[in-house]
This record gives sequence, C-alpha cells and structure tokens, in this order.
Amino acid sequence: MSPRNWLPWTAFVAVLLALFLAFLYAPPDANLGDTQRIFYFHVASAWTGLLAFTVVCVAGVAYLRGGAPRWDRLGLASAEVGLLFITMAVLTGSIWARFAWGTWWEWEPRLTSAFVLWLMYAATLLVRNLVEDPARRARYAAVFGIIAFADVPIVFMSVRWWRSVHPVVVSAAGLELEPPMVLAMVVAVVAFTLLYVLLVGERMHLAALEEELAECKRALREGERVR
Amino acid sequence: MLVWKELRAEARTRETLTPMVIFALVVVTVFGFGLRATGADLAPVFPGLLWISFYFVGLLGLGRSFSSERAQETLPGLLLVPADRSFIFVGKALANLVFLGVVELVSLPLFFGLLGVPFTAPLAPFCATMILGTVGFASIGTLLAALAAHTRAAEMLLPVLVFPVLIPAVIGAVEATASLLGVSDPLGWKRWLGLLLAYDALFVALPLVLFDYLVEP
Repeated sequence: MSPRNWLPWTAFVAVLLALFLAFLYAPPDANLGDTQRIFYFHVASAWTGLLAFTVVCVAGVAYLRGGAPRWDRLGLASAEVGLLFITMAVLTGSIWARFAWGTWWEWEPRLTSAFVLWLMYAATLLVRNLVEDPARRARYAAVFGIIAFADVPIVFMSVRWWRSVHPVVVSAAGLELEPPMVLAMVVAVVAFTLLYVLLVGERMHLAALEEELAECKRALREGERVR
Repeated sequence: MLVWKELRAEARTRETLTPMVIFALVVVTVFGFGLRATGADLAPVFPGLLWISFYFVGLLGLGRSFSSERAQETLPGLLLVPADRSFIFVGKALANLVFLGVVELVSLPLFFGLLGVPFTAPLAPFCATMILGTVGFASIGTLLAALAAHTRAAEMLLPVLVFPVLIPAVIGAVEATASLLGVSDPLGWKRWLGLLLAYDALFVALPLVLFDYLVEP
C-alpha cells in the first residue's frame, strides 16, 4: 500500500493523540500551571523545523551532485513546510517567553537562533521566487540552502556567547519534566514529524504536477506553431 | 591575476571605490547628526555603529562586482578561460576585500574623530579584528552577490541574503571591538577573534566549493 493511503490517517490519529496527551493527560506544571502546555507544541515544531532544514541541505547536496529534479522538489517542499513549522516555533516561543519570563521577546539563544533560521529560509524561498530559469533556480536554491544550514551551528554558538556577556534578567528556567510530560512531548514530536512527512509528500506531488503542466503547455504552444 | 584585472578596471573608472568611500563619509555624518546632537556618550554603541556602517558600505561594492560583468556581457568570456572557475570567485572576493579595506582605512579616523570616541585599543588585535571581520564578509558576500546577480531584483535580494548569514560575523566583530575599546570585558576579544576565525574559515572554504555551481551555463 502506498504511503499516500495510510499516512494521512496515521498523522491524523497521532495529532489527536498528541492533543489528548498535552491537554488532558500531562499534569499542569508546578510553577507555570496550564500555560506550560504550549511547551509540547513548541518543542515539536522547533524539532520539525530543524529537521526540515536538515532535509533542505541534504536535498541541496544531492541535487548539486546528481541533478535529479526530485531532489529539487524535495528541497522546495521541505523549505516551505519547514518555514511553517519554524514560524510556529518562534510564535509559541514568544508566547512562552511572555508567561515564563514576563516579556514577549527574550534574546534567548535557541529562540534567537530559530528566528535567524526563519530569516534565512524566508530568503531561500525568495531566491526561488526571483529566478526564472528552472534549472538555475534549483541550483541557486540548493547553494543557498547549504550555506544557510552550515551557518546554523555557528549562529547558535555566537548567540550563546553573546548572551553570556550581556546579562539578562531571566534564566532559562530549568524545566522539571515528569514522566507523563516526557511522554506527551515525545508523542507531540512524533505527530509533528508525521505531519511534516505528509505535507512534504503532498507538496512534492504538487510540484511534480506543476512541472508536468508547464511541460504540457510548452508542447502545446510549440505544436501550434508547427501546424 | 584576475584580481589585477578587477583592480585595474577599478583604477581606470573608479566607479566602485569612490561611491563607497563617499557613502562611508555620508554615513558618519548622518550618525553624527542623528546621535551626537543628543550629547549622549556614544562609546557603548560605537562598535555596533562602526560595523553596521562598514557592512552596509561593503554591500554597495558587492552589488557592483557582478552587475558590471553582466552589463558588459563579459562573464561568458571569463568562463572560457581554461582554468578552475573558482579563480573568478577568488579574484572578485579579493577585489571586494581590497575595496572595503581601503574604505575602512580612510573612514576609521573619521568615525573616531567625528563621533567623539577616543581610540584606546591595542593596535595589533584591533587590526586583526578589522581584517577578520572583513575577510568573511568579502568571501560569503561575493558568493551571494554572484547568486543575486542573476535574479530579478538583485539589489533588493542581496541584503536579504547577506545579513542573516552574516549575523555571527556581526556579533564577533562588534564584541571584539567593544572589548578592545574597553566597553566590555577587556580580555573578551580573544574569544571573539576565535569566533571570527572559525566563521572566516567556514565561509572562505564553502564558497570555493559552491561557486562552480552558480556559474554553470
């Protein structure tokens, strides 16, 4: 059976289960109460965003080495879906900062790095939008995807050090996770990952159809000219 | 060899370096009017102002490094030269490095003088910061300029591509300068120079590998 048959249902059930565990099963946090529950979705979307951008880099390398169009479609799909998840990670992180630290934005290394990542991947999609020729577009997007990914660890390190010289009011509160909370977190991560795979698969399928359509249109135009 | 072509072409027309130097002067003047007038002590923000200005001025030079090749349709000619293509990249990047280096030399005294910040830094580490902060920018900037040159809206896209990737260099250069000028921990600069060194190593090596893929026909 093709994954297109069972993956949507699996992802649907997994997301329902994650919602149940996060909202009903896991106990409220001792200090933050119910507001801590956003943590499960925050961690899951941040993880998925990072995974997506790893895939963009891998797809970029594979495309530059082999030139197979499906790697480019994977890069495109993963960048678009990854931007969605990293947007959710930044937004939920900001909400977390508001209730845990009392401010909407905190220059915390992970949150700040996530935002820089957001900027770089928004730029990747801009590159895709602004190059006409499909082969060149694929190469340029692959090159920038690799550069952006290589930059991520060094951004994270530099923001960490940078924070150590700029004392801040809050500490990254060490969260005490009880076993049910860990379970809720793991299930949320799995559910979001399945959702990511599903969306990427659909987006790649759509991209393949778009290419086919463009090819049909081209053939049609040239056919008319011949006749 | 190619860097000589760039520099000779520049020496004849001076159409990149002159606007860069003048823009740097304009920026100092604008900062002077915008900030000095308040009478506030600029020393804490001076390192940030300095590097943001240099990187913006550098962006002007980057934008030109491939647009003139494209306008005069000389890039296909360069690509015919029977040599590894990364030499084109090395030539352009070195030229950009020289341009921005000249701008820094000329405008540094003005930044210190006009913004009223005393120069108290030890000379050798300060020069090292200037060089390391500029090398990585010139290298990754040249690659991204080559990328942006063949897109619609190249001059809009370039800053959007360059600055997010540049963030570690901005942090390293600003913090090292702040440390050397005594604004922050006076011994902290060693660590920041290490960061700049790592950044430069990564972003000098990576473009050498990737440039070939940008200029493929």
